[in-house]
Amino acid sequence: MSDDAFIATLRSELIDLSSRAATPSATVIVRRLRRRAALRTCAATAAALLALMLLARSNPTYSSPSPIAAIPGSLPAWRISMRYELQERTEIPIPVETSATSGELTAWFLRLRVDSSTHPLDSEGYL
Amino acid sequence: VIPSRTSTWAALVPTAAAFELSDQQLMQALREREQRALEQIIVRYGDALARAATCQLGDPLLADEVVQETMIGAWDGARRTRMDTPLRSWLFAILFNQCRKCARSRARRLARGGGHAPAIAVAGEPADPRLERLRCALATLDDEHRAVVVLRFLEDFEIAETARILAIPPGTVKSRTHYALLELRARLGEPP
Repeated sequence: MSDDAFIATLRSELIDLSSRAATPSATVIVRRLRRRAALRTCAATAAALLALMLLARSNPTYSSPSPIAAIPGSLPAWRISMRYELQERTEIPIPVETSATSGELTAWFLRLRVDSSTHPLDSEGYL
Repeated sequence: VIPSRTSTWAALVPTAAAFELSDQQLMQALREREQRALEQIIVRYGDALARAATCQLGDPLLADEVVQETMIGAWDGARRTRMDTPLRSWLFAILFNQCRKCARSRARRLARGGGHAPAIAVAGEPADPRLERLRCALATLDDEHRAVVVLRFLEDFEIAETARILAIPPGTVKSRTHYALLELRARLGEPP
């Protein structure tokens, strides 16, 4: 068989062989992207809260081992804005202003949900 | 100033239905995080990518997964790509990178005794002997040679485009094509 004839047969058989390929679903791919974006936002939110807790812990007024933290009244402005931002984004009150216990914080983490069905696709995880 | 996604898409689409947009316009919209551009690209190139991945990996299920990863990679990478990059060959370059990753992880799984060998034939369906022969012959090629066959003879890419997609010199594409065809002829019982 000549090269051209062999290649022509090969082309046609490759097409037949590949006909079992599944047609990709845009819905499935977009859903995967939304879920990933939602998880990133969720992780960023949790990381920001942890940062808040660490800041609170480093405050000399912190004394009790059981309550996680009590951010004092004289909060620097950026800490306040971070908390408001978090609260606004998650629509869940953040229990770090007063003496939040570890149970309260756990409960807050458990309520931290981001709706992946409506989450913006292009979220980079930044708040 | 980057125009908002709504205004960009609105500016593109009223003058033409989404399927009439050029690849470059779709690329621009994708760079601006326009979900409808991604959907249109899937409609336009999804089947071709799935066909190529199926032949390359020998497994339609893995191919489907790899095509999804390719689209996610395209979404993530669009902003890092030059505007004049041809959309089709760029997608195939991502696809073949994903195929390489997938083949590596499959080899690791097989080495550990898990996973399954590639098989295009779906259980329960009678395999066409002619296609089964081709499938076996393709499976004997290594990934690099098979990639050249898929791009050149299934997707009709020119040598230069194939070289760009696989990031190899055009001379290497030619020699891989030559040796892959010799090997396939031998396996399929077609003397040169």
